[in-house]
Amino acid sequence: MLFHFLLGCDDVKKKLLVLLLLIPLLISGCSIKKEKLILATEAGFAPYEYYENGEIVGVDIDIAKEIANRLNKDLVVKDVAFDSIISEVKTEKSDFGAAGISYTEERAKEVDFSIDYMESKQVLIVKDSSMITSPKQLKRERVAVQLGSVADSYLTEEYPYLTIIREKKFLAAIQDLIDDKVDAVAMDEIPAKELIKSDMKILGEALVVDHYGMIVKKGNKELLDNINEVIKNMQKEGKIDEILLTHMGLKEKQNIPDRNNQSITEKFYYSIIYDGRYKYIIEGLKNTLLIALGAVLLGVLLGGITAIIRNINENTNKLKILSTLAKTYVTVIRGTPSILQLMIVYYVIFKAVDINIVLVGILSFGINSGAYVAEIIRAGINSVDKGQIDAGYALGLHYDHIMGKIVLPSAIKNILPALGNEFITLVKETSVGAYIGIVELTKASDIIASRTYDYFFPLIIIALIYLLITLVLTKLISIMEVKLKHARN
Amino acid sequence: MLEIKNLKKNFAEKKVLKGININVNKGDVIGIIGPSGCGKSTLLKCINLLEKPTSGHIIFQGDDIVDNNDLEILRQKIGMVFQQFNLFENMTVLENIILAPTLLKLMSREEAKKEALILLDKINLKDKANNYPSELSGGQKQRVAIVRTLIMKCEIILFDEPTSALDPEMICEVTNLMRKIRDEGMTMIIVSHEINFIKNFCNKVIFMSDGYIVEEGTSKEIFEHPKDERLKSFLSKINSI
Repeated sequence: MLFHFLLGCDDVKKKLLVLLLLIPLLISGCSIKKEKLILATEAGFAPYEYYENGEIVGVDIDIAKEIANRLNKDLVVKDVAFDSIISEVKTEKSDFGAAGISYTEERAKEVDFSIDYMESKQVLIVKDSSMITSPKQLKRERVAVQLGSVADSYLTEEYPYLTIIREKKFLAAIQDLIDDKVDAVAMDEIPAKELIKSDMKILGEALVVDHYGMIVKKGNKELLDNINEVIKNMQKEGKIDEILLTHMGLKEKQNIPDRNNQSITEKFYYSIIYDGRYKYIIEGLKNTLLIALGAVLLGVLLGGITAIIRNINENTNKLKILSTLAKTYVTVIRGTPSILQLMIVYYVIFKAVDINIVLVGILSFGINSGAYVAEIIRAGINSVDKGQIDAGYALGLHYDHIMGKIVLPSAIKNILPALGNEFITLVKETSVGAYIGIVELTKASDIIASRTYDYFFPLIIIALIYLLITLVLTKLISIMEVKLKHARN
Repeated sequence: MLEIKNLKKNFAEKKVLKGININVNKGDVIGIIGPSGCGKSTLLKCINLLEKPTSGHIIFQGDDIVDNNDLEILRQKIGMVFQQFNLFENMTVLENIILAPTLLKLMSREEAKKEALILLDKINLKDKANNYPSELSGGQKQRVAIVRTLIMKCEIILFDEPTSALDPEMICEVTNLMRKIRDEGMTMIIVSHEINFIKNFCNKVIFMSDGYIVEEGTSKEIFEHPKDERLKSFLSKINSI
């Protein structure tokens, strides 16, 4: 029995420590990387990188493929948040990054840049009716940008009186302009041409001109030299301009009617059916449920152990050190946001380990959930009438008899429904998984929106799916509650 | 068979028992009375070490049990009946009774069942064997709780206010059962507010006040010839109800 195992001998702590240390080792031992060349990007930036037929394609991807060919490796493209790309490269999660990344001195302190492969013009998008005709006129207007983009840092430094709205996505920035929440959007000229609506224009005068480079971990000279060589050759042969042309004019290519003129059926068609986009949703749903389920199971395991350690300590005064650890675990996890925990697990703990990101999600959310489950179980245990425990002791029963036969069976009635709620919370919590590149439901809607240039419809669909999952789970919990009430009343 | 020597118990700064000495002989039926908060229930819980005494000795069958590590064996010999019955709510009456003897491997499950049904039959509750505690009346619950103790073949039973949570018409069924057990020679220590019950039921009575034993003697001595002023005042208050 677990209780015996915990109480049994003096080197209990050693045993547990060994177990705890083994888990990450086992996982990390499974796969050691190579023969893969991993590119980190954020695939919502056509024509440089975007989704088509379920695959990430674009100018950057085509160049990256050339690099992989030259090195005789398989290119693996990872879609992460733009502001995660530098950490990806720094922690060797990815070998290099390309996402229309402009050279800045700050970035150059963190990673090494390749030679420029593309000149990028940062421009302003305004509505046709706007009075703004030149970037020089900007004073106190509201301007939307993508967080961490060149336009963001440039405007922040050069235009101190502007109100800068920092969106995670260009699409969201454009949506701000549609809704008149901002006066202008500042971004790269080429994707800007893809994104603008019929009542918008791009100002001819550039905000700033700078250059895109690819990034590698500081000191990775071998890869950097190869990248530079490939870029040089492609430029010489005029290939990069060629690639750019094939990826431009997507809107015309896809022959999609303007968003404003689409009927609901058309919207549904372009958001879900066209180009097999429902596959993103299915993939997202699968990952969301997988992570939530895995995490709740891991959470129950960790939470159960934590709660039992604390209960043993409270009742018998044994396991003092473990109990302090357990308390610290609960406090730290409940006191920090799950997104930070996810990033710490991925970029710090599993630094330089090639590990499946869904597994990282399960681990991170499971560790997170464990702290809450521990408190759920503790509350359940404490809700059991103290008199019954006294009666158990008075009959000569052992602590583990009392826990196993009396306390836990009674506590489970309070614990199970609360665990169901924890699962519901987790299903929604997984949406932050997109940060490290997990394609879960919310990310799926992002991907679709980045192709249809329309946030509204995919978001509503995803919201409905979340709602449906929650409703089904809630129903299951209430059925379970009723059954528990009848059983052993 | 049981000797309590200079027993003290503090809860943090609060001194609840300030030096208790009691000598219990086999077959004794000892009633403990006294005002609320005088430490009666704490004393009872110290005897089977549900509460650990702060200092002092409890000698049970020749051994000092205060620092005993075999609490489980000890508690099998010292039964306890609670004010709130404390039946295991998640188990049937039968399961309640056979849980401890089977888990502690004192009997096989079959033996325990047989024994439990015989005992239940004696208290006319055989037909409730498969009911859950929430389906029983208070008096029935308390009788089941007593049977749960009896099946352990314990040598002494501690009763902590066994009738004070019961409706008046149910008190009798519980005291009748206790009388039967007494007449079979069981050693008992009873904390109770039912002064008349203690008076007629016990051969020895202890009056406690403020953590001390103030007066002890036969039932007759305590109730008919009280000496200490505190006991006199306690009895007069009770009698004036």
